Amino acid sequence: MRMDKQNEIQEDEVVLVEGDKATGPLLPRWLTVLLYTIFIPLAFLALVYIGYSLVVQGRLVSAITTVYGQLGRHISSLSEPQGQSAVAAIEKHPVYGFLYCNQKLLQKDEDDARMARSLALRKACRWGTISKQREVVRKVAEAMRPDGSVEPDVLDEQTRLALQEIIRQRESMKETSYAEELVTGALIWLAEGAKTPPTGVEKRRMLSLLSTYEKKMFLGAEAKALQRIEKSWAASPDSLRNAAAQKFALMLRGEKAELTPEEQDMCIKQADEYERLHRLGQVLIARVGKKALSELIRKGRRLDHPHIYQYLTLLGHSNEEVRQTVAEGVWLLRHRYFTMRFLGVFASMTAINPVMAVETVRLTRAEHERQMRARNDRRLDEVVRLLGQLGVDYLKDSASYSERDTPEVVRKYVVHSLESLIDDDRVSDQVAKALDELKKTDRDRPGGPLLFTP
Amino acid sequence: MAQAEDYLRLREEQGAPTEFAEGFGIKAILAALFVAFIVTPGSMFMWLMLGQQLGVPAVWVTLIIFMEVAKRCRTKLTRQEMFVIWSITWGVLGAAVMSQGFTFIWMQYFIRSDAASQFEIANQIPFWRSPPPGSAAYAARNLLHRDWWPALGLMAVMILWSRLSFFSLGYALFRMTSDVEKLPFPLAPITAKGVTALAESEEETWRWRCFTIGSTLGAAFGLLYVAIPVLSGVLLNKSLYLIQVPFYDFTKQLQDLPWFRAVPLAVGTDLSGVLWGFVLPFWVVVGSFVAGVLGRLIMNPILYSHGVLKMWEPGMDYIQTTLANQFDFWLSFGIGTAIAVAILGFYTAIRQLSRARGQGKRERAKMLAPPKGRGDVPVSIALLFYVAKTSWMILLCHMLVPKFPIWILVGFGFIYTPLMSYVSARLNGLTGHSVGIPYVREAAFVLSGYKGVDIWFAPVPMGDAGQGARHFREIELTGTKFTSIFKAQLVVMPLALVASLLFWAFLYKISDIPEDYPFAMRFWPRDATVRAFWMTATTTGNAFFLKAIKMKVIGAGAAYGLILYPLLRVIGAPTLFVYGTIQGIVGDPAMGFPMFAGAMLGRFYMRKFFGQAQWREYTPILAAGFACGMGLVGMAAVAARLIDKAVTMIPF
Repeated sequence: MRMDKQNEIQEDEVVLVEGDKATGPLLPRWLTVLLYTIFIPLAFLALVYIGYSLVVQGRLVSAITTVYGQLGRHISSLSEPQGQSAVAAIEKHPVYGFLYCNQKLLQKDEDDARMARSLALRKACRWGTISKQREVVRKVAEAMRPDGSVEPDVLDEQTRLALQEIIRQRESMKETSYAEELVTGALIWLAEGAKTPPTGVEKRRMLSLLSTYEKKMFLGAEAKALQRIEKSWAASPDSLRNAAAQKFALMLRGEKAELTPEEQDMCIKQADEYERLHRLGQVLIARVGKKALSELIRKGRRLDHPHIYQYLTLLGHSNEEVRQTVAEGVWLLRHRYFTMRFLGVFASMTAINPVMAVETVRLTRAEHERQMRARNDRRLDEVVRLLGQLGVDYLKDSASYSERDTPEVVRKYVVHSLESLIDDDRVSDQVAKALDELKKTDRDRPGGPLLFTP
Repeated sequence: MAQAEDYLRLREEQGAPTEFAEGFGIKAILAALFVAFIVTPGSMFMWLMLGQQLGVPAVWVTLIIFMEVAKRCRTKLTRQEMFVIWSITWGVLGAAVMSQGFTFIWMQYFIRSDAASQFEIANQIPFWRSPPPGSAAYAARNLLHRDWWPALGLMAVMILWSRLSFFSLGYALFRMTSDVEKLPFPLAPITAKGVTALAESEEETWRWRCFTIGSTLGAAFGLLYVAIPVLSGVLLNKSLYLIQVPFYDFTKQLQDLPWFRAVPLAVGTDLSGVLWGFVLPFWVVVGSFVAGVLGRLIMNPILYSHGVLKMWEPGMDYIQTTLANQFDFWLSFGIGTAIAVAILGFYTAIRQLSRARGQGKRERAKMLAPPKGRGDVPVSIALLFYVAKTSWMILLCHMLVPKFPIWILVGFGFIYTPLMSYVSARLNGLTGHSVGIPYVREAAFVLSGYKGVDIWFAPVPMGDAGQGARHFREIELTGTKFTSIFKAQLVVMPLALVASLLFWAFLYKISDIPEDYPFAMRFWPRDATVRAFWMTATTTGNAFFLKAIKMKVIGAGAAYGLILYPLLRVIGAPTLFVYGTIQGIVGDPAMGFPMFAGAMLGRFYMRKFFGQAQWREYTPILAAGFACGMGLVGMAAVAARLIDKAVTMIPF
């Protein structure tokens, strides 16, 4: 038995050795040894560094979450102990910290649970009107024949009143697109009792209007937020909350429901509080980002041009305080090669790109375009101001700028960019003021004018 | 046991070489230089002019030229040497012309394109992909300008990465799927036996005759399918199609009938499909046809009537219908089936390993030990290489795109890529085709909440090394030592880099690409718009494609694979059918018809006529000959068109 066992082991060993023999040497032994002595430590180091990066990224994300706050947890100022330690963690890695803060500010509002709740509650307050109007539009659209004609009994007094209310709302909008005006035209025709023969496009207009109401339903983050509020308020001992929760359930199903004035007050107050905390978080993040930026500038760290571009896009942020803080940050970056150039590029981006203004789940094309235009306008205001300041600063202290920032470059990106905006009614005064200031500074320059020919 | 019998029998029929020889030498180096400096510029030029490059034809032409030169030098190319030349040709053309090398020339256009500026992308493209707008490199039209150096460095790293991927994970997967699981890789013999047939051309063996018959068939079909349309376009200014290319579309004609609503119905006209049907396992083709054609014919009207297929509208043609249905249902279902393939693969591999464990050390060692003289390296070393290169890629990617969550990169490198490569290698091993899950990369970018476009250009450690397993099987079947291919790859990498840089720089210097190149001028703006549009998903957050990912349908797809497989095993039916259906779900239904016709003809006529064993030997060589013949005719036709384009006067 023992001999058999021994033979088996020996045979196994032979097979294993044969197997090993089959793996012939690929490289000479000295090269293999050299390769492994360099290769294995480097591979090990890479793994260690990945581990370290994971930790750093985790700490930064946690610090940013602390500063930004989340549902049920927030800080009021950066001077609080939690805030201080978070700021210290971010400042320890200024480049990453700066970039991560920007990432946070670039997120959509509804990605924050507090803001999603705020939006959901505000929509719930408007739901009574929205659901009623949707019902009326649906009723008319469904009753309408393909050629646009409707039976007179469809347009009863109540329906016509509801249609007139929709028309009033649409006419009070500051700007409307051509397509929206056509829909309003069809509504007016219906509200007047459809007395003239239809043109054949009315049904299409009403269906288009109905689709805009579909976008006003609770969708995505808002729906989830309202669901959670509904769940927590349904379990609350407060009867007012209980009653509102029951209506939220109907709203989530897309049914008709209307909050009472008391319930609306409660919702608005809660929404205001959520929004305040969200906006406070944004401002704190912008400030920490600016701190990290000044730290990285102090240390002379490199910042790639896409990062500068992305930071400059925050000049169009919806939060005014964030915009101001970012503008201060941009001012710190004024000596960087790409800052002036990108400000010049943004000054030229006054029109809305129709390719970018697409219909989304929540917004119609026209609504999206309006939103983009508002963002562009906000950014343009800041850009004009910054370009003016930058030009003056260059004239006063051109030595602090890069050698590549020659007067020609400044003339191209600052002066010409501003001059191109002089006919823009919305910013023309601001531009004229900036140009005057620039001309004055240029004239008064000790070495004579640099940017403008006398 | 049905599956085991199925594919093990196929594997046995392929035969295995008993001896392995070195194929790398001075002839291979000369071939590499020939391809890099003679074929590559032509391929680049044709790509810009016509959108077609010298792929398959270039490979066969290189082989034939070297064979003839060898004859005149009173020497002979061995099968192994010919295979190494084949491998080098693909390697150089792939790396230099398309994948990495092309990135340069494309980027210099993309960053200055209307699309990039309209979508506000141009100023966000990182310096390590292309110099920022306004760089002197563009004004000088110089790819060797210092502003391009970071992009050049990245290209070198990426070429190295792809080769390392082949060496490491591709090799490890080959050992797993071929040596342990004994999968047949049904399409691998096409190349292997084609090369063998060419190598035996002097002796007039049956292989050579078979290859010649295939080439004649290919040339005749190429004349009808490619040459006549191209040449008539040159001579008559209007292309004349004797056969509709690439398929006859019946989608619109039949969609008024309720039973054909939302059904993409087209019959592929490429005869290659019939030859593939000869080569592929019968039940794989039947499964593919059942799922791809009959499945869609039955399922789509039902899904449409239940409101699952929402995007389809009357009037849509085959391609539009396929795309719409993909988004609504089949994409998610395909993802589910890919998950099932992975689970089934792991189950099979673990079962075989545990069975070997039960049989003792000796059996296990036998299973894991490669054949003698094949030139293998230990799997542990290959895996170590994979871990090392993936770690470096993750680090590089993290340094270039520091804002992107590194755990996602780790997930891509160490979980997704090995897993999907394994799925792909298994499917390649069983059905000859691989499966990829679309939009995973895009979905990860968007769902991470990342804002910025740099991530789209980053070297994300994500890929499919499953093709590598098939390539190793091809090497094995030709009796070439693996070390020959390892050495060949070492030659390919620097050559591809130098050739790519040199010729792209030259072409760019003589003309502001895409100017002067009709295909590039026409299609690049469209491609740039599509690409920029995708990138807006991480700048605006509008990711339409996320709607296509439906968890319930994915679950249904996974359940389908996981239930059908054991069911077929229980009833003793061929389980290759399951893999065939999975391939049919993600594949092109139009190709299902010719493949099915080929499979039926082979099974019920040819096999009886020639005998099963002989027919199995013939089919891969016929397919290789067919590809060679059709490729040569195609190349001649395209050359005529190239000359025509070069001498035609532009009216302005």
